Amino acid sequence: MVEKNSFDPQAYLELMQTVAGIPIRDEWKTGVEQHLANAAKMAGIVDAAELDPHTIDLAGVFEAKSP
Amino acid sequence: MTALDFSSAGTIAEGVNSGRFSAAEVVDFFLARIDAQNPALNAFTRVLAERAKARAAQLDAALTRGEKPGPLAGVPFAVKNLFDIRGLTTLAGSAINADNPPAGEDALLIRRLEAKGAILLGALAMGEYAYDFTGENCHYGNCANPWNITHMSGGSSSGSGSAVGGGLVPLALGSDTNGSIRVPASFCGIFGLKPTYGRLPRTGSYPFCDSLDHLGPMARSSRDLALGFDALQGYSGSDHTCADRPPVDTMAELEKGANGLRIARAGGYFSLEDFPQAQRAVDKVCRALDCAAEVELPGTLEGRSAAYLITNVEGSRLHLPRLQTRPQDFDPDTRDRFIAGALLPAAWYARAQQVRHWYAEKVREVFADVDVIIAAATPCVAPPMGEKILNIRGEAQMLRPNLGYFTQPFSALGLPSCVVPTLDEDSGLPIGVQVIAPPWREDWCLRVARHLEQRGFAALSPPSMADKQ
Repeated sequence: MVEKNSFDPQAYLELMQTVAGIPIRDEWKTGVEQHLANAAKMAGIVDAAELDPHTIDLAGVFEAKSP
Repeated sequence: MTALDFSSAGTIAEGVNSGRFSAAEVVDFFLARIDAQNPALNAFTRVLAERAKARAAQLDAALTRGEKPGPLAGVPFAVKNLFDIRGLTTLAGSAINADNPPAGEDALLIRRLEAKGAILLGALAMGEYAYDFTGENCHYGNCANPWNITHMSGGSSSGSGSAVGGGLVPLALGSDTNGSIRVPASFCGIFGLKPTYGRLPRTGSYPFCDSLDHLGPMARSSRDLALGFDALQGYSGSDHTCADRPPVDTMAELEKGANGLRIARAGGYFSLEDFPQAQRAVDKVCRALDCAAEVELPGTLEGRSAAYLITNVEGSRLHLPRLQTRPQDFDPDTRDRFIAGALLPAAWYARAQQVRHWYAEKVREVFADVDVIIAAATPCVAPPMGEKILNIRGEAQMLRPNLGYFTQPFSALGLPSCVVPTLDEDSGLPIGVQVIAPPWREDWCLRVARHLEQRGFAALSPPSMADKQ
């Protein structure tokens, strides 16, 4: 579960922008941080879904096709 | 030829097929109307006058030879500018794509409509890369609502909603990843259908989020929606998500209305105490359907959140090369969201896909007792352009991601959903209601939409546009 207070969008953005290779101007950062915070909130909700803890992770369906 | 003002696709096709008027007359009428109305609405980004006239001439010649062009004979239509149109660059609402070469052929769904006699009039405005519910676009200008041009058209199929709502075309195609057909249909007072995920092939359309992208029709009546949808159906192996299933003949089912269908109103997440405009709309529709039952869709908050993350990550991955090399060329409102999505942990995405499956299983059980679900389409009528904040459950939130609050869950589920228009008397603006059915039962959505239309829930002519040519 992503705790509301454990995710720091500002610090996360600083760390990840280099990893992603996206040149982010200072004046864009507030907007990006808002969306990161919103995504973190969504991730917290998704993480808290009461799935069977023994369920296996579903992968996207891959179909091997004949040549 | 004023008789064609706000006329339906069905009326036009009947008139052309019977020889009451020619396809050329229809095209001339609608080109003149676009000429007069589009400067205020900004719904069309490209009008294909020559192509349309040439196509009309072909159809009229075929009719002269005694041939029947089809159930959409002479029906003008237009498409969101993420559909490939032969000879045009597919903009997808972006400035970046303007550098791309022109499309070599039309999108499959354009070809299917034309094969039934329809005539393509042009390309329509949209929010950048479909990441939008507002109709605002910093590159090409905002697309206006025909009911009040200072208000949002809704998005991202903004031009499709505005053009059909304003009577510039009777039929349009849009795309819907999280509500992009249903939000503009709600704001512009028209019908719109998001089919079941995998029903219509997306071949020749610019993608946004493969897991959630749908294409579908928007029209001024349930009958036109069915007519268009039936013409669009059919399996194609050219889209890996397209299901190999037989088409459903919605036109044949339409007049069965709501008979025999168990209908319930969505509660819980979908309760409307905090959304008075949406509440009035859903109340009216439920009264007309004599629907007192309420049903809860378990897991909706989680499912909607999953759709949000899936969209954010897949859309951002699609655009990563452009975010890395020319982020300054994005619309600021979409750029910030795409950048955020490009940075999210992979574990969030994997979990979101898992929760989507879980949510779909839970809701599948609900359909054991219910055939059709009624829910609001949007939390409110079209906000004024420029509005940035939306109040959701007492909390001020960003408007752009949240206008799809009621549509996004059904995208996660891949369920067919048809928006039926209502008029909010207090604001004088339309607001839509969703009619949702189990997978592959678009016919049930359209039957209920038809039933409601016969009880007054029709696409009205916006007062400011009804008297203008």
